[in-house]
Amino acid sequence: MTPFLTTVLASLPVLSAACARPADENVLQIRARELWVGDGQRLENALLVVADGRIRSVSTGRAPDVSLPLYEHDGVVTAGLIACQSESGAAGELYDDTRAVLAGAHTLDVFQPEHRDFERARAAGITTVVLSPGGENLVGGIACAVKTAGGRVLEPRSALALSFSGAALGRTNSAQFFFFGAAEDELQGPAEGGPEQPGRSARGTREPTSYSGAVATLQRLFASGAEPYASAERGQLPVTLDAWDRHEIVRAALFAREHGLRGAVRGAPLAGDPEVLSELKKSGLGVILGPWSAEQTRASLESLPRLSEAGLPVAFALDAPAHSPEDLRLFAARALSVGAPRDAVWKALTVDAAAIAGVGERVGRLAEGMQADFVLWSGDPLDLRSRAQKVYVDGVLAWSEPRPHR
Amino acid sequence: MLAGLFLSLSTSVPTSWPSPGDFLGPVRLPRAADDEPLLAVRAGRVIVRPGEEIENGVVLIERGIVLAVGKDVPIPEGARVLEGKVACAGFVDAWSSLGLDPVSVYDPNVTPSSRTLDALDPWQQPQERVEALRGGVTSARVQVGRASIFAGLGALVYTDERSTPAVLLEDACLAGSIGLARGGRVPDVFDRVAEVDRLIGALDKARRYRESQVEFRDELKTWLEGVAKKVTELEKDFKKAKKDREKEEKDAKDKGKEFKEKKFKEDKKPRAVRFDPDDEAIARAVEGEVPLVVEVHRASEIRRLLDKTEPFDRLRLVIAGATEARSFAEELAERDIAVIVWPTPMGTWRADEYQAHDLALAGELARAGVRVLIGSGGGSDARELRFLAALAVGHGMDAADALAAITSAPARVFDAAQRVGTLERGRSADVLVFDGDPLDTGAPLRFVIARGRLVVQ
Amino acid sequence: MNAMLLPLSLGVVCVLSPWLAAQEEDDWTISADMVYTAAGAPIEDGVVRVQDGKITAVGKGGGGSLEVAAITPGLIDLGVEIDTGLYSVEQSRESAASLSVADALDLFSFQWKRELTSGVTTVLAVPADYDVVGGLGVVLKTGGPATLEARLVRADAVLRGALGTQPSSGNNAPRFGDPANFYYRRPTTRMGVEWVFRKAFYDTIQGEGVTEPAIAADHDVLRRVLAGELTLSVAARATQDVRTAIYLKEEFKIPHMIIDDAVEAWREPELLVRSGASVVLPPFPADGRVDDGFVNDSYFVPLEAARMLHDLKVTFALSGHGSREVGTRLSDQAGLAQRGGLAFEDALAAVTLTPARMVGVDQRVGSLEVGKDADLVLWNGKPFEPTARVVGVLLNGRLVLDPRPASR
Repeated sequence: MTPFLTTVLASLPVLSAACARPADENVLQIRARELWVGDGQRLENALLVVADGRIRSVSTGRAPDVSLPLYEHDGVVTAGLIACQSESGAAGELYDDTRAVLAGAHTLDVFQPEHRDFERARAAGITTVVLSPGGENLVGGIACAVKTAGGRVLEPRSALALSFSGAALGRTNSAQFFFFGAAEDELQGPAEGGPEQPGRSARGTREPTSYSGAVATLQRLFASGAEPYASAERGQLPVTLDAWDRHEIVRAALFAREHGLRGAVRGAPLAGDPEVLSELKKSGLGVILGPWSAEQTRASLESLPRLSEAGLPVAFALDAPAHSPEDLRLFAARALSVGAPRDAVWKALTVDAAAIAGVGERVGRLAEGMQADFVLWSGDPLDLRSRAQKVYVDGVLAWSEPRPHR
Repeated sequence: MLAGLFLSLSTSVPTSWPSPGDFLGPVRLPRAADDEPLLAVRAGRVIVRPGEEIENGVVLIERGIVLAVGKDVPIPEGARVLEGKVACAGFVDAWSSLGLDPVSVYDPNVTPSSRTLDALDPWQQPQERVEALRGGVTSARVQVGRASIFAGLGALVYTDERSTPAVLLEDACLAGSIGLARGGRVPDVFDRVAEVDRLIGALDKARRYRESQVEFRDELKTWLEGVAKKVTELEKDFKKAKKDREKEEKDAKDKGKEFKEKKFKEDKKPRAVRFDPDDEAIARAVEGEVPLVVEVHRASEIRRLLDKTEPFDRLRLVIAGATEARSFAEELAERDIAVIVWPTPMGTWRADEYQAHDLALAGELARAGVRVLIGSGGGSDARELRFLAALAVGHGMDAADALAAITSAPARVFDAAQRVGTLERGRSADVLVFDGDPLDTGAPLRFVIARGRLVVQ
Repeated sequence: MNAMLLPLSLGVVCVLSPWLAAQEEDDWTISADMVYTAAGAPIEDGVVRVQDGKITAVGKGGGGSLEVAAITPGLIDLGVEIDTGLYSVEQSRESAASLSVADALDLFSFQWKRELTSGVTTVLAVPADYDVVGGLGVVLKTGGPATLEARLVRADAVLRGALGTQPSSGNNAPRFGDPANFYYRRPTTRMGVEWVFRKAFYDTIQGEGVTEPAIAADHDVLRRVLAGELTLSVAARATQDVRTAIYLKEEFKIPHMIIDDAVEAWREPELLVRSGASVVLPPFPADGRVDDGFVNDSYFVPLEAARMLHDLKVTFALSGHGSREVGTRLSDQAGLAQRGGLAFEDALAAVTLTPARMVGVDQRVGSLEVGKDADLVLWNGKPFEPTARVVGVLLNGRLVLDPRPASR
């Protein structure tokens, strides 16, 4: 038994251990009707070999090793889905009303791997989740990327969460509360253009209360040379910039350009607007779209194909548990319905999401050496009629669908 | 004349009474436009109804109506031909509030006699209707009053509105809800039980109202007959009666007594039942003229509702939501109670306490034989309907049942099967053309024909 | 200067006439029955030529690719009040002088387009008046790419302040308040508002070692105001607020001050003249009455106020408050001012060259002169008349509102 696997098993909670295969069967072969590599290649009658939590090989037309266990899957095998910006298992724990700047906060501190939210995520085919605050704090802390099974932390410092959204600004005390005077922008959540949770807005008397104050505060923090801002400026720590209205997105892009930050804008329903898009391109940021609602306007859904066409990495924000993890594929379906190319949508669920989360070398594709996070689907995963049948995380079976009814 | 002397008729008999032929309400025919071209849809699979398909079939459309559907239908000159892989009937959203004025949708003071028809607003968020059409939804059952126990009469409308609200069926159903959060407050268990009882009480009252009306009619008839008989009697012996009267008068005068006029006093006229608009509306549901759609989620309330509605043998009950209805599947199937589900993924933060939506519910109920309809939850996001049906399939629902749940089944349950829901001759020309299976969300929707007009390409 | 310009322009136009038919996007020749340059006498049967975003010729002539009844320079509104509301001003402190509205602008707002298509091409954007000293304002164009970089005409054009009831309206008396809630603070009255002003200037002058960087930055800005490098724009509606503004100007010897939204400035003629402050008038209300909006009070401005200020030789401009209400466009205000007795040329100046001078951008905009930005407004009749309206607008030489019927 390898030391690696010992460590993994030793750290598994009892419940998860019950799902794991016995330790000595650490090589697994899966033959599937179709396998999606993740770079656009679709392999028929493919063989996936997994060993020690990694992908050993992906091939087509090769005969399996009969001495090793083989699982035949009449369906499609793909890399596990990656959900950006989620609060799985940490609902309500990732924001603070009393201060705008939470530089020392790490979402890793509230990672509860045994929480039911992760089980729901697995059932939806999600293998990696980026625990990240919503944009209610100017500096929300440091996000981390975690696996949805096994309790493994894939990347403890996935990004520094900053917010350029109105949701991060303090409010006024008086009845002028309801008078925003802000520009009308398309539907993107509640009226103030921030994350969708009601009741998370007790930001009565927190400074800053204005965009100019927010920018001044951020400039001051970055000028101070303190951590984590210094790392972000050096490009060592990516950033996610919450921004909803178009002017917020542009402001975020300009700030990133000024400080040489890399990372992604989050929310950004109208990131596909040509003027916004040109600023985003100049800044080199990616975009984490959403979460989308059923009423999302066509223009915001069309942002995905436009961003893809412009070559920007795009991913989806899940914002679980306020949103069900099933929503991730529903977002994909909505994008497809407005004509987004399949490849772009698939990348948003896997490869680009991994890149934005800073884990693109480790997950998101089925290739030799990548971590063995994959899902056996009953059919085309971009078709909502398909469902996840088995989900593997780090080469270990993490979820299996309950006995089918038929 | 003499009748007038003796009698004092003062009531007026009602001149019009709802007759059984009026039950369905006025059905509006699609308005034919003369400038609409002849359309022909040719598809590799023409789905007439789920389970009945024509390979390489043609659907011929003229002036808003499907003229013919078949394999070898000759296509006339000048017809515009649309090609595609699969053609099926336009989707019917069984649970929506599309195109309604939002204040009415959440009005807590809606009464049973309120009509959704009065809240139709053609200028209300027209982009939502456009999006619904682009999602393939060509008609919907819309309803006001989500926040009230009795939500009034709903309507079936076409989503493709031109200058006026396009009503498919006025008063398509009566609706109500039990156990929902109202005004931000979730009712406690006692309140919820009381809501069921209120609903049943109202049904009962309406039944008695209708019975009283029938009784009154009979009584009035009898009374009128009696009076007419007496009048005839009196008229027959007129001369004798006159002589008798004169004699009596003389006798009285002789004896010095007071002459008392003998008057004929008829029985008290039966009183008409006072018109109550709410009872009137609910009576229509009790009589089975319109289905009663009740949104209810918790098992205990569903149980109570099912039990208490059993005595109403003509009531056509439809349950919406039905989150905890699994255990009643058999009974629902037996009593032919249709169920409208909303298989949408839901997060964990909701005002109501009932269990999270299980996407497998639709499939489980359908397998048990329940007639399952899929709706978009009573909001205005009808465009999601196709995704919801696909999700239901993904979680165990049979594909044919799922397609039926958004086409033929809602049409059937809401008495519009003559108009929409299937691709048959004489139906409204609501046709969708896909590049793949209708429920394959990866396959784009190529054309949408709504009432014979190509609206999306 | 105009005397020289006219024959020169004529010459230029005559020479260019063979090319006047050129139809490039950046190249326009527009002729009109009347060209009102705001820099001299109007030109009858005139023509304006623009190229590459600048005006290259103004003079007599005809045969343009566009023909309209009248041309004026693009209008300039110093009181446009387009902002992101509560998010445009930093309320955690009542004096936030060093913050600029540039970081809080929403250039995607439909309100900019609305101003542009009604003829307003350049505006002064300032933070909303929820603070006593709200911060720096910028002058920008109302159209073009939605970036400040593309639209900016002048950064740090003014420091914005407000007197009266609005800045104190969000505060509560500290007595029973929540100590963690910074809205429980002074000012809660007019007196308090003036106090904040005086304290800000006083502290600046005292110049004691201020450690907090934000406050130090504020003081730097205030110092520039005191030195005359930055104009102070103060909203002062009521008569007493206008007086207060002038007393402040005199007490601290503030060289340049604009009294904005000066509803009742006309009631203090001597003070205005004595102080040398300039004035921005609000849109003229139908019954002359402007409600306070925060307390139960109202102020009065007659249509004659513009003419009164003109006669006093007080520099003033008109404003439209972003056309929030029907009939309050800037172009309407010029008409109303004339109804109050102001001459046409003075009304035109009050919406073009004068406001440009007041915020120091008259080198680029404000009149139809060669070398200035090609911001033109095209009319179908005499400008500012109720029977005429804006039918075309050029911004930086681009036709943003097309007067030709086929294009509608």
